[in-house]
Amino acid sequence: MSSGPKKPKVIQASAAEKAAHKLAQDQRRNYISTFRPLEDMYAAEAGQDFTGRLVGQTTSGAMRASTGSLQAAALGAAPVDTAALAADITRGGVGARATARRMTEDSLLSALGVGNGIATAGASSLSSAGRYQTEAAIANGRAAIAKDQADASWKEALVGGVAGLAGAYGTYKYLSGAAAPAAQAPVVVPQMSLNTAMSPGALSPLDVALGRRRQTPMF
Amino acid sequence: MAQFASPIAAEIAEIGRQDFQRYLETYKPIEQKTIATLDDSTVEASMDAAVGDAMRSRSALERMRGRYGTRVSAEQQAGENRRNSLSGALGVMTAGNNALLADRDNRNQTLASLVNYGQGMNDLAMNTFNSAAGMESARNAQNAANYAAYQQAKAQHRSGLISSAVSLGTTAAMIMA
Repeated sequence: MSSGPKKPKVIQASAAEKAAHKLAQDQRRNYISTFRPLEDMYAAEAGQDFTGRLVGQTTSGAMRASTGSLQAAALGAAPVDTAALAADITRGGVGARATARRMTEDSLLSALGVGNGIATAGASSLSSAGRYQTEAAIANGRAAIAKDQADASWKEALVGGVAGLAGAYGTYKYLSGAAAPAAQAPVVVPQMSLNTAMSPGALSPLDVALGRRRQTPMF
Repeated sequence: MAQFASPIAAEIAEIGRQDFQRYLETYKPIEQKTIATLDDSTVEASMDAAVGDAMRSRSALERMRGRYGTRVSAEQQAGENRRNSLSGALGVMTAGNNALLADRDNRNQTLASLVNYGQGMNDLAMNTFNSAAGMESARNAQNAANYAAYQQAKAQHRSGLISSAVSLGTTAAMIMA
């Protein structure tokens, strides 16, 4: 006699899987506690405006450099083009403003690079999670279908078995009911012709075929 | 029926949501701030500075002349004023033009970086879309397979019932006969 199928064992997480999960959690915690504050600081400082500082430093340097020329010009009696001397200072200031603007925008763009990394990691995580969860849902769906098929198969087997038993019982009854009249057949035919109002010629072929069982002897 | 959960995947999903939320809260405003810099201009400040620088230089010269006791004639002063006026105007225009060119250079650099950044974002979005579409496709394929299996099982079940009913009916007829 065969035994039924064994319930499958649930596949347990391997030591490596557990270790990988733990390591990932630790690394994530470390990232959050150590590096996320730095990222936040970087983001907060992004876009600072250094224009005043840079322009002040550059123009004051240019002024100091032009002071000697201005002194020499002041000592002479010739007309002095102070605007031309100032142009150097202005040029320094324009360059400083451009540099400051570049610094500001570069710092913003660098911060955006960090943000892009975070968004990419987030999207990648969600994609992976979605794939794993869809696969799990599909596997669960397959398991449900397999269970339904097994249930349906069991019910069909049950109905088929009942029908088979009933068929066997019917066959038994049929055979046991047909055995006795078969032995009396030579006797019944003359009795029937003698003791019934119906002559054998009036019987239908079905009555003829089944007649011996259907005709109960009158005595 | 056994349902197999995937808690690590759920954890990853939660991390992904947190990361994306953080991007929205912290870095989305920086995007807007960076885009807003495209409208920045240093032209006006530079032209104003040119006027101020010229005036300060002129004042410094006057102070030095006073300190050193240097005197210039009225004609010299008139010539000097005229020359300074022209140079000053030229200096203001030069400052404006230089600032404009520097702004344009900065703006182009920032714009190029933003365009690259945007393309990266679009790539990311499309990759995520592809990933979602892959999941949808796998799910649809499985749903179709499940439906086919269901139809097949239903037909098989009906066929079995009919067969059993015929068998039972035949038996009943035999017993009744």
